[in-house]
Amino acid sequence: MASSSEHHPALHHHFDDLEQQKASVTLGMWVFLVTEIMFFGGLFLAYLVYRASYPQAFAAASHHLDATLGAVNTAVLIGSSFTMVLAVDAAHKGKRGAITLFVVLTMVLGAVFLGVKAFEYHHKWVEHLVPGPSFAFEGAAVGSAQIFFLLYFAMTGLHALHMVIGFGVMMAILIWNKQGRFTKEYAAQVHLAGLYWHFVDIVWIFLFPLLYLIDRSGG
Amino acid sequence: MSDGPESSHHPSLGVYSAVFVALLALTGVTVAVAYVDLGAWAGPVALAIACLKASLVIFFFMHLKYESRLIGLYAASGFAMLLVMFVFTLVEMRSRPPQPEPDPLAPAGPLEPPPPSP
Repeated sequence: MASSSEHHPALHHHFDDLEQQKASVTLGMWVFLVTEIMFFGGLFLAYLVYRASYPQAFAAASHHLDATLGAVNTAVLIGSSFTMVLAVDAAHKGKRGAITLFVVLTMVLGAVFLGVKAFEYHHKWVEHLVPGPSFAFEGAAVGSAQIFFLLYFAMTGLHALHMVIGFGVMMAILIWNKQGRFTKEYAAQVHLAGLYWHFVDIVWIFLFPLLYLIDRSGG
Repeated sequence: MSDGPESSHHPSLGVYSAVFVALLALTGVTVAVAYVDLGAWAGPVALAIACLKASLVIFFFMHLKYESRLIGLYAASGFAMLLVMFVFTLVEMRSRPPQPEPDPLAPAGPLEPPPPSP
């Protein structure tokens, strides 16, 4: 087993074998994702502190978000995670055509998500719900509602930026796949791209209920 | 659904599909419970469902269930630090006297009394 993979073109010289190389790059990716957890964690903490401080204003402001669009986008993003998993599975089985198919599908679903997001942003702009001089909100708690929308744009914006970066990663995967860099023995790049994409999905899994679904019962 | 000799490290397509369906169902559940009046439990329930969904993604889609313990330790360390940050902040907030809900566009910050206006 070891001798056959020793001279594999994907094996870097400082690793013993492909198995060790894959374990190393996977660990490296997780280290990066831990920094990402803390990166988004700061924003989530800010959200928690301000929501605890202004619960009524956050509920009132949250009602200006379209929960249906948010739910549809959640399903779309989960779907893109599923196609990404299928791409990683295809890579593991050495099916290069399937890698391309599922990565393209992942990008299409990601584009649908960002399209809906852009539509929502435009709607907020028209409704004067973008924080700044033109911010307008009926009700007494204008300032705390503005904090909600500031957090909304900061968190969903940073999330959307991660998706745009994800598109770059997917393009790299497509190009490398076309060049024939992925083999049945080694396609860790697809696995790492998947880890990144799933992380972005997880961030949205928390953003959706926290931003869109506050106090919807009206109680 | 045979994956060959390495199937112990990679779940089958059936497992992936089941996780996908569960994630969609839990999204439906989180929307449905948001419209039920749960009072103070609404936030914790929404967070619990989100944590369950995130766990499904992490353990199955991100393969953490099948990775080495070292990688599991690294992943856990991130969430442990996050927990420390949240718990200490919440404990500090709970130790403060209750405040009325002021408007932060008023001159003072949210946790300071507003200065007397002339």
